[in-house]
Amino acid sequence: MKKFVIEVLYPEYNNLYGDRGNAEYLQKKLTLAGYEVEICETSLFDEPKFISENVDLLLIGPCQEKHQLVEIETLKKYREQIENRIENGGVILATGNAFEIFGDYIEDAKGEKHECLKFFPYYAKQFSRLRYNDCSVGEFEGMQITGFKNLLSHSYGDNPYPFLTMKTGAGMNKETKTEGVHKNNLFATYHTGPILSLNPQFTDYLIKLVDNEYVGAELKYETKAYENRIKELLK
Amino acid sequence: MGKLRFLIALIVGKVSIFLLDKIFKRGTNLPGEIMLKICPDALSRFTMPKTTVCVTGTNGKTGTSNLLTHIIRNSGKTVVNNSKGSNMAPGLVTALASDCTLGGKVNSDVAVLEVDERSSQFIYTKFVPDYILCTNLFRDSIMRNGHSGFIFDKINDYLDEKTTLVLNGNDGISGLLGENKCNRVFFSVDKTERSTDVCEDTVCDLIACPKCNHKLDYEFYHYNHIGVPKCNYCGFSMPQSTYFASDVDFENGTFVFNGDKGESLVLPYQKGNFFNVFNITGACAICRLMGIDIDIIANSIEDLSSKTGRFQENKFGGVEVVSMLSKNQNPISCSQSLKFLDSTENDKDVVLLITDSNDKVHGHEDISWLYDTDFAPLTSDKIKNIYIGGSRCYDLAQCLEIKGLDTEKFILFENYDELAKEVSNNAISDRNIVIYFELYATSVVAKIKNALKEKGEN
Repeated sequence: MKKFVIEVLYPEYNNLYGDRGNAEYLQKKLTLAGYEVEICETSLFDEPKFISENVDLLLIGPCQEKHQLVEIETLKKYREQIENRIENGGVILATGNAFEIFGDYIEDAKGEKHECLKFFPYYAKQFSRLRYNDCSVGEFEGMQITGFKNLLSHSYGDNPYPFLTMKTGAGMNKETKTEGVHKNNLFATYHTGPILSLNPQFTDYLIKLVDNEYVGAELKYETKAYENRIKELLK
Repeated sequence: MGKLRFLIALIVGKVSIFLLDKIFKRGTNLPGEIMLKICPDALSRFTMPKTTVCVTGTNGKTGTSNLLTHIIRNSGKTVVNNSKGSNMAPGLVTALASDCTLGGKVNSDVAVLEVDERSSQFIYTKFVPDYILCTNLFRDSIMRNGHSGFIFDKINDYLDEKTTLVLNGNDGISGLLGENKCNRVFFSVDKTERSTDVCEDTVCDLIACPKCNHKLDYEFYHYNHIGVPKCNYCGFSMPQSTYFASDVDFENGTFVFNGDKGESLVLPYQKGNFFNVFNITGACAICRLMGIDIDIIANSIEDLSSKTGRFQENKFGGVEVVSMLSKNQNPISCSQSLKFLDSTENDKDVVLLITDSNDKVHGHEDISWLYDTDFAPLTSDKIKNIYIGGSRCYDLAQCLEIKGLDTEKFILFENYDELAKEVSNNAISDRNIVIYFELYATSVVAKIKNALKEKGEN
C-alpha cells in the first residue's frame, strides 16, 4: 500500500474556520483511493517533521492574529529549510492568514511592523476593527477555485508569483484581482473553506503533484456541492 | 444643548414605544434606533439604577439574564431588562427609555442588561456597569465574530476598572478578562462523573497556554475548552473560584451551589442541559454579591425549572417528533444539541435544517463551521434516515461523509416543501423524528409538522 504523509503545522493555533477539514478530506479521499495516510501534527515547540523526514504535503492553516506573530518567530528558525522545500518542489498548502507568513512583513493596526519570512515582497496591513468576509471564485490553470475569506488584514505590494486571478471578490486586497502565492509547489491563499473539500478538482491536482499515478477517488456529493457553489457565485 | 437633545429623543422614544406596543404588541428596537439618531450619546445620559448588571459571553447570555432578572424580582426589587429587544445599543436604549422619568432617571432598582460581545465599545464606554458577568467565550459565527481572541479584545479593551467582573473559572479564555485592571470574582463547576481527561469534542479553543504558548495540561475537561487548564511549563492556572457548583447529579438534574460563607444549596437544572449548571451558578454568584438571601435564590430557581425546556415534543399519530433549535454558524451550540441523540433509545429519522435556510437573502453561507461541529451522534445504528435540507444540502452531505457517516442514509432536498412531504410520507409509528433547525427555518419545521398532522388525521 502506498503511503501518503501529511504534516499539519501548529494545530493548537492553526485550527480556525473549519480548516481541520482539509486534512480530514484528504484522509477520506486518499483512503478511498487505496493509500495508507499518516497525519502528523506538530506543535510550536517541536521541530517540524519535514525538516528531517519525508512529508508529502505540508498544511499550514489560519490562526488568530496574535498567534500568527508567535508562529512566524518560530518559523524564522527554519527559514532555510522552508526555502529548500519550496525550491525543491515540496508541496505546501497555506490557507487564511498563513499566506502572510511568506511575505515581507505584517503591519498591525497600531502601525508596528512585524518581519515575516521574506520569500516574497508583498506585505500585510491589519485593519483596526471590522473583518473582511467574502465568498469568491478565482481561476488557476483553467480551474475555478472557490473559498471563503475571514480576515483582519489585506496584503499589498508586489506579488510576482500569484496563485489565483479572481473572477469575483477581492484579490489579496480590494484593488487587485490577483490572490495568493504559487511558486513551484507552494500554494498560499487567503481562502479558507476548507479549501480542499470545497475544490475537489484542485485537491486531485495537489495529490497528483505528490503521486503522478494517483487516480481520483470521488466522494458522493463533492462535485454537486462544488458545481452548485460555482454556479451561484458566478451568476 | 445635549440635555435638550436627550429630552427630545426621550419624548420621541417614549411615544414610539407606546404606539408600537399598541400596534404590534411586541418589543422592537426601533425607538432606541430613532433615539440614537437624535441623540447619539443617549446611553450615557440616563441616570442608571443603583445596581447595573451586564451579561455577556458566547453562549448562555439570554438564559442567564432571564434567570438573574427572575431571582432579583423575587427578592422584592424592581428590574428593568432588555429581554424584549436586542442586546445591542438600540435594544438597551429602548429598554431604559421605557422605564425612566422625563429627566432620564431609570425607575427600577436594578438593570439587568444582556450585551452582545461586539457591542461592548458602544455600551461600557457610555455607563459603568457595577457588574459584568461573562458566561464564556468560544468560536462563534465566523462572519460576525472571527475568532475568540478577536471577541476577547472587543470586550477587554472597553472594561472600566470600577466594574466588578464575574467570570467563569473553568474558561481559560474569558477568565483572563480584566486581568490587572478590574476586581474579578470567579465561579466554576467541580469535576463531575462525566468530566474527561482528554478533550472529546472536535473543537478546543484553548490548547496552548495563553501566557507562554506551551501546550496546556487540563486536570479535566467539562466540554470543549471548559475545564481546569494548567500549564506545567510556566505555572499558569485559573484563579480560585469564590462560588462553585459541586455534586452534579445527571440522573436527577440537580447540583449543589456553594457560596463563600459556607452556604450551600441543592438546585435543579434542566436535565440534559449541563450548560445550565454554569448559567445558574453565574447568576447565583451575582445575586450573592448583591446580598440576596440564599433562601430567595433557592425558591426562585425551583420556580423556573418547571418551565418549558429547550426543545419541543409533539405526537402525530404514532410518531413522536422532537424539534430542537440549533444556532446557525455556532459549532459549539450545534454539537451540544446533537448530543441529545445519544440520550434516546428509539429508532429515529433525523432532519437537519442547520445551514442557513435564508442563504439566498443573507448571502452565500460560509459553511466552514460545519467542519468544527461534532456529528458523531449521527453515526448511531438507531438513526435510519438523515434528511438534509436547503441550498447548502450538498455541502453538509459532503462534510458528513468526510466525518464518517453512511451516505446511504442521506436524503437531500434543496426544496423544503418536498422535504416536508417526504419526511411525512416515510414516517412510521415507533420511529421518532428529531428535527434540528436554525432560527430562520422555524417555518420549515411547521411545514413538516403540518404534513405529519394531516397524515395522522387521514
